[in-house]
Amino acid sequence: MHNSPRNFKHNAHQALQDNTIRSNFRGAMDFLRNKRRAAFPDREDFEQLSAQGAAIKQRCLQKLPQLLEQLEQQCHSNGIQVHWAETAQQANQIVQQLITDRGGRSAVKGKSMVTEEIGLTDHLNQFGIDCIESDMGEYIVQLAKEIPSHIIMPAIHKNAEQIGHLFADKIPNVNYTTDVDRLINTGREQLRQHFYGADVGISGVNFAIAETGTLCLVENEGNGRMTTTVPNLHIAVTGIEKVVEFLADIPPLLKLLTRSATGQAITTYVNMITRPRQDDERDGPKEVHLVLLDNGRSQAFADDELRKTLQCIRCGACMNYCPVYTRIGGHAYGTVYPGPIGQIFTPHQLGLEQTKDLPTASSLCGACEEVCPVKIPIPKLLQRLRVESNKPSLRVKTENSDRTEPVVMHGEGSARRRLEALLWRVWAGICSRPALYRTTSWAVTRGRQLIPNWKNGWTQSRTLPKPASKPLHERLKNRIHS
Amino acid sequence: MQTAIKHYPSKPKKVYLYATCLVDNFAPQSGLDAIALLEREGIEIIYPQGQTCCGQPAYNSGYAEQAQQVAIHQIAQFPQPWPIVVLSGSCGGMLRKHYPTLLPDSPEVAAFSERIYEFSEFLVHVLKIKLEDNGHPERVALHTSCAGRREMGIREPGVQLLHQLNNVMLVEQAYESECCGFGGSFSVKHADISSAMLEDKTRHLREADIDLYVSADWGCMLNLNGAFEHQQQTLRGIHLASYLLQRTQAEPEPIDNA
Amino acid sequence: MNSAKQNILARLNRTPLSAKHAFARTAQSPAEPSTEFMTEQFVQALESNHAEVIITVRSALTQVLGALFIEKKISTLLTSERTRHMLPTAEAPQYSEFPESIEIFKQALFNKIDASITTSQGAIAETGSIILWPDSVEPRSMSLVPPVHLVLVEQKSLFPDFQSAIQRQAWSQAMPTNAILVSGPSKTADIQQTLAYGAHGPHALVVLLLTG
Ligand code: SF4
Repeated sequence: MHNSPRNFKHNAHQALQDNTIRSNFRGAMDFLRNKRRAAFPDREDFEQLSAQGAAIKQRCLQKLPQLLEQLEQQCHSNGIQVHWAETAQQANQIVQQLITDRGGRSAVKGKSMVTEEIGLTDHLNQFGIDCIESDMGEYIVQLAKEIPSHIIMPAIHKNAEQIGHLFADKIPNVNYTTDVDRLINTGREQLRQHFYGADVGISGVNFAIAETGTLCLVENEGNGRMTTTVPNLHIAVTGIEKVVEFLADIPPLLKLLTRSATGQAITTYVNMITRPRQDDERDGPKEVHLVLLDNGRSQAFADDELRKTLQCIRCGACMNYCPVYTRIGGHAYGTVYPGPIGQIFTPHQLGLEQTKDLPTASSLCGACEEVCPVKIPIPKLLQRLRVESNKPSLRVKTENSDRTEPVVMHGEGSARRRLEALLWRVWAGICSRPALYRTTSWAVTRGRQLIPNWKNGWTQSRTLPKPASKPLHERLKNRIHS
Repeated sequence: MQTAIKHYPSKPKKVYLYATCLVDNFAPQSGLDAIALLEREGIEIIYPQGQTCCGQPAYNSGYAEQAQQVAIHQIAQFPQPWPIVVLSGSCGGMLRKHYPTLLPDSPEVAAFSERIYEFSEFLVHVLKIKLEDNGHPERVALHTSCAGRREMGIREPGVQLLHQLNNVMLVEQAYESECCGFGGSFSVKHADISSAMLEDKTRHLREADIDLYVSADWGCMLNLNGAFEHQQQTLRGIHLASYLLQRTQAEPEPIDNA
Repeated sequence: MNSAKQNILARLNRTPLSAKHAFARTAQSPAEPSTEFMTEQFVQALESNHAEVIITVRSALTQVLGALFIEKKISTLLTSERTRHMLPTAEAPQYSEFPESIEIFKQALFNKIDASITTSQGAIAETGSIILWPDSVEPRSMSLVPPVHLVLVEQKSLFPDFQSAIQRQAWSQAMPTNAILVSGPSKTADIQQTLAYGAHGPHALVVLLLTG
């Protein structure tokens, strides 16, 4: 699988041919949809709670710069050191430097999409630092030298047989089995050795609370707690949009997150970290660091509409309900965040040029928006990104540099094709001039036998619709109007 | 995309018909049947000859300016304050939900959008229509377009109308709410994915063991019927307007689907 | 101030934001549910998450624990000064306490301890969650590393939901180093959506709910 959104169409084509992928994803999505449905039995309740969730996230985004500074200040007074990174490289460097400076050689990592986003593991490996994924799904994916295919369930593309073979091949003295308890136990034993010996624990953050300077992590397995408890050094990496204003904002968001993600009323563990180990305490990391990452988020932030992208709490419901994701799976997107959220988020990281197939890869059916717990209007944002992709690019000079900057986002205008733009202009001309429209309609309907049966995308699975012999407006021409 | 609670007016004397460009050019019989049904209910139908397309194809393709141009033209075709009945949930969504964002800060546009009713919604909520079924027993599935379902909330009215037909057994196909794969330019730009969705949808409809399916959207139906034809299957869909008229006529006549 | 910070904040501050924002502090929970209701909800939620709940009066606790140690075949138990006095002495497992720091205890903690017992800060009825504020007496890894975690919960410390716990215990004024909600044994569904317990943390969570 090519790990670039440039190969989206090719990847999607391949994935559609693969029956195992098709059935693994269909089964998994059915499972997750049913779980979520059971967790929100009442549509009204969901509407109310998600309206609250959206309001909280919008309020926090409205105050984002202040909240980030408040967070830094609070963390600082709690003894958590805060670092800022504009790009993936900067973030990687910060993390690596922190580890290297302390002579660290081995890291365990809790499940974190943002560290996938910046490619942290590869970076650390280059500097001789081992970095082991400790979430079961992530561990499986790392062992298979793949990337996650879902933001909540990273190994969802694999079935038990495939994982049984993987473990038997890659882990010494392990026999093939499809017994899930035994497979999990194997993972547990392997990973406990890493928790035991690691110099540093690396994690993401689900919510960072400005009011108290607290990092909130949500999980079921306990690997997140291990990662943030056992090693002497804990480094958390998070996107700047994860900051919330108050501790009191957490309960509703948490409820929305766990129910939307896996249909749970709450996860097994909610882990709220406010300080490193204190003098009188006997365990916990002696140092805690927080890396705040921009990586394209401030670009989305600058636009009133696109800012809504940052409301996301990474529950994965949009991909679970997406008819496109369900069929092609997560890898086809060639992005770290697959599915609808990836389609609206990734263009801000990689630019529209690399991601131009993402905004169009949707029928705009709206299933994602319907289930999004923070009411992100995903179809509207996809449509907006299509506008940005197709607009004539007008770069503007910035005040204090000679470089030109895009008006809205990097890669804007990069999908514009002159012929397509021309066709839409012609189409708009026809559709806003009744006489022209009627002539065209006349020609199309009268020429209906002449329309060739092209072998294009449309006709690979349907016959081309034939126009009627006489359009409706002609049949109604002689109606008497008052 | 929560459907705001809409206050429905009492039964009007006159309405505009917005047939949509697909009905106009591909399925005029649906338009004629809708007119016949509404007239039977005592409503006068005004069909502005200047109407063309709602602009959705350009809008969804990222050509907002062109969509605006077309939208302004449509609005001008419906100058009187009468309700506008639309023969498609999807175009209805465009006219009601997206025109106000496409042409913001205009009371005129907002007022236009307020007057938009999708056909089945109009029958149920405004006319409060009572139907008498004269047809023979049949198993039928309802396919609601995604925009119809999520932007216009017309699945329920569709179900209500079919439930009024005593001899019709409404069957729910598996994955009923999932998209048929049309999505306008999506079906051309991502034909593989669109086809995979379509194949699943047609299979679920076939497996529902129905005599026919009904929909209020010709976008989906051109997609689905085209697929059934391509698969050499006999199953077809017909427009809700035609179906309701056919079932409630004193002597049912065969419908011309062209 | 480093330049990454300056740049990020400058970019964010460049965007004019409307000053007004809906202040959606979370609404108070409605009428306070009865203790019986909360207990039932709490037990049900925990049990559906595969935890065991034993309801007992405080005076019977020692006896209950004795039986539990036998049933669970616990031969080494990690305890603390907070719980030590409640434990049985006859035919008891070997008790140990957390030494000065994890560094000198890791080997035993990971390999030699069958179970741990801790107290709790309170509990949440709605979701069946135990509130832990690990501290110098009961460090964080006590409730995490041993395969079985026994936890004492006072019935009178039940809160209807998370929000009310935060408010009434005034968390935001004095956040502990680490606060944890535990709602069951460690689990995962990462292999073909099949639930398995004891992913990385305890296989078993036993909640001793103390009444009276
Ligand atoms: S966009 Fe919405 S549904 Fe998708 S992951 Fe984010 S919060 Fe969840």
